[in-house]
Amino acid sequence: MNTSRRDILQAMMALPMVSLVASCGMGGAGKAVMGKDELAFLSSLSDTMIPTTDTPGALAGKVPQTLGELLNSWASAETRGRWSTTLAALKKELDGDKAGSFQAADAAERAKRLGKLDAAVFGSNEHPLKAYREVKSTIATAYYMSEPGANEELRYEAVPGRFEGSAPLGKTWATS
Amino acid sequence: MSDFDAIVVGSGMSGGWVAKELTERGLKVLVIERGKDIDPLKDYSDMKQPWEKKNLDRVAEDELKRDYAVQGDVYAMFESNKHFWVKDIDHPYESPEDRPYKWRRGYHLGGRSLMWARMSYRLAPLDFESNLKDGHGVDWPIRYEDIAPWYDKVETFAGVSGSKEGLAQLPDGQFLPPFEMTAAEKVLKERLEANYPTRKMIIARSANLKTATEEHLALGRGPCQSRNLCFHGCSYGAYFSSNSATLPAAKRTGNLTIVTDAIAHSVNYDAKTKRVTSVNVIDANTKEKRTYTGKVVFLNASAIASAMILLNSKSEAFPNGLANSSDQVGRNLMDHVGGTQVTGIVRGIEDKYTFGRRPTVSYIPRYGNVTEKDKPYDRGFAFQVYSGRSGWYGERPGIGQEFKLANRMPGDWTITLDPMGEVLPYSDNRVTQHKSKTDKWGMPIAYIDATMRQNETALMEAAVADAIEILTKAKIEVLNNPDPKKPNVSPPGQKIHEMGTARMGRDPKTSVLNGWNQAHDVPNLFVTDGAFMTSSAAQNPSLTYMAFSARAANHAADLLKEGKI
Ligand SMILES: Cc1cc2nc3c(=O)[nH]c(=O)nc-3n(C[C@H](O)[C@H](O)[C@H](O)COP(=O)(O)OP(=O)(O)OC[C@H]3O[C@@H](n4cnc5c(N)ncnc54)[C@H](O)[C@@H]3O)c2cc1C
Ligand code: SF4
Repeated sequence: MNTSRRDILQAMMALPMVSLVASCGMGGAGKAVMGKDELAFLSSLSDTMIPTTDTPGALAGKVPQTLGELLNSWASAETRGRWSTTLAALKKELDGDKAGSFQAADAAERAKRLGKLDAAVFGSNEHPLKAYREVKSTIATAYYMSEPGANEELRYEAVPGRFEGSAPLGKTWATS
Repeated sequence: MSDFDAIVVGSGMSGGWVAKELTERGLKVLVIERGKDIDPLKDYSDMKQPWEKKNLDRVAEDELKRDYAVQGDVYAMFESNKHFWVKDIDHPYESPEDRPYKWRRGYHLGGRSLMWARMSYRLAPLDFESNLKDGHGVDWPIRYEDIAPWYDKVETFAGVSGSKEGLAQLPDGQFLPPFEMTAAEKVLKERLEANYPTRKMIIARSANLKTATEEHLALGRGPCQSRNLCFHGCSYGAYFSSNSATLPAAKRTGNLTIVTDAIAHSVNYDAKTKRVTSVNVIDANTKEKRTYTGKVVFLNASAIASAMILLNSKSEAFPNGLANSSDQVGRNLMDHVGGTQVTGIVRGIEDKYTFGRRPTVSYIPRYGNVTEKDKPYDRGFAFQVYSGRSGWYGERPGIGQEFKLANRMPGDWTITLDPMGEVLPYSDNRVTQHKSKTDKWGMPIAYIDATMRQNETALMEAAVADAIEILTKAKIEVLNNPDPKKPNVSPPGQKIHEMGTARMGRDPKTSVLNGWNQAHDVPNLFVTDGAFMTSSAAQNPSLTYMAFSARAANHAADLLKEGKI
């Protein structure tokens, strides 16, 4: 009995929201807390995925903080372990020959590397790094639910006051 | 002397109405509520902005698994409103391994009136005749005409927004103005009704104040702001709940006493006077025991819980549970049956979008065995219709500006048909007391043994095939293509419409309650939660509980005045 985006998407793609378990196939051991390095990588990843452009990006929306909190206080040790494994695999892929090179690279270079990985993962249903989809989806959720994400990148009305079913087209609403 | 004129067990959807009607008739009423008090300022989360919600409003995984094994997958449960749901770990019940039952509950002042989805439909004349006609269950002891004025009354007070449609299977009522359909719903409505003269699509009837009347404003309720946050409690009081409407109305009479954290354990019966005399209560926190006396007792703890109280009230006169000489208490447990949702893309309206967040949906009322005959099933189903433009989502290709731009404008209009069917009364779909296990308060836990059967499956098979055909004929491309031979059939409880465990009927040998919700066996005992339902119909049931509660309460007040009970 609701029309949330999640339902529509699930119906469309028949994909469970928390698809990491089913899809990543690299379930690691449980993990107590996310490491600093992992969070730093996640920060770099978020910034590359959703950079500041004409509108604020993931860093302005405090996405790394939200994800850190989510992984440390929402996720179970098992989920955290899986994320850890996924992040390590992503980091390795993005660093290529030289460890640490992704985070050290400039924005253009990071975008080039991530863009390539993104295209490869979305180009196939069986990509070994398909757990990336879950990471991306979580980053996006944290961004669009942030204050700048909802208010500046998209549109948000806390109190619309009325409903119109055939309103003029405009930017995406942050919530439905 | 009794402590109170009347005792009402449970403060939810139905109990709130009983309390309101009885106090307004001048009776001193005690409401016994097992859960905690609700303070809107502290307990409602509708004023929190998305970015103020902890963990994207998701309940922590470990906590969900440990504490909310049953409640955890309810679509209306979030981190910010998790206190509206029982912790299953504290409130166990059992079912056979292969027949799970989903008992979704909230134990607090207002019960599930605080979390309901507000869909409010009348039962139709044909619903009150269906058992008699096709022989399932027993005949309802009353007919539509008996309850129609009470529907009028509860709709007016609660505030139900809707459109008048003149449908035999879904009688019109006292409606506030309807919400608008979305562009996609208008497209489907037009094409559906052109393709099928026997079918209609309407805006759902919903207990949200599209506009507020003087009566609503006087209770501190204001008009709905189209925020779609109703599962969080509404600081505007704009949807109907016990908390926003019936309990405040009862309070202002000066005749209401509420005790919270008080678990009704059993009801005492005096074999000499053939009356119930009092209710035994256990303090939820201290486990201290108390007894309250009253001249009349209403059970409104919800269908399963009220049956459990009756079964737990054993005496020499009623060794199998109070008012249970028929052995029907706990039997005939019904819910509604849900199936596979079918979704399509509506094209040609790409220039349109929505403004505001409508707290309701659209609805295709039942047509099977009403306007269309010769179906391979008894009774019928309706569709709830959801629509909207897909918004932002993360699992799309692209990064950087490309990704941002793709999400900045909405995607396709989609429309989803979600079936909900009538469930027949089966006497062995049943709640009993567990043979050995008790809860923290020493009370036997419920053993719920119920399952969907052949007719329910047949309904959901037809629903898949019909939904695909409806969309296809409307030239709406179907996105998922479910197999009509393999529909989802929701487990009982999933639709959160449990009912039937103390059914009404004409014959005391085969039913628990008479046509006034009064126990055949005990004239000063009434049950007006979903337990009384003789059949389930296909409509969401709460409006019907409200109407029967108001009617029974006024009847009880009459009887008390006349000295008959
Ligand atoms: C998410 C959701 C969506 C829903 N949507 C709809 C809808 O759209 N339309 C519709 O018609 N219905 C809907 N429902 C169902 C609706 O909420 C119920 O039908 C309705 O609340 C039942 O009313 P009730 O009075 O029987 O029980 P409740 O409202 O559940 O109230 C029972 C009260 O009794 C108390 N209680 C229980 N046991 C005891 C005891 N032993 N002693 C003292 N107190 C006790 C409980 O704490 C509770 O407060 C929905 C429910 C949910 C959860
Ligand atoms: S949508 Fe309306 S009824 Fe629901 S929470 Fe918002 S204002 Fe209240």
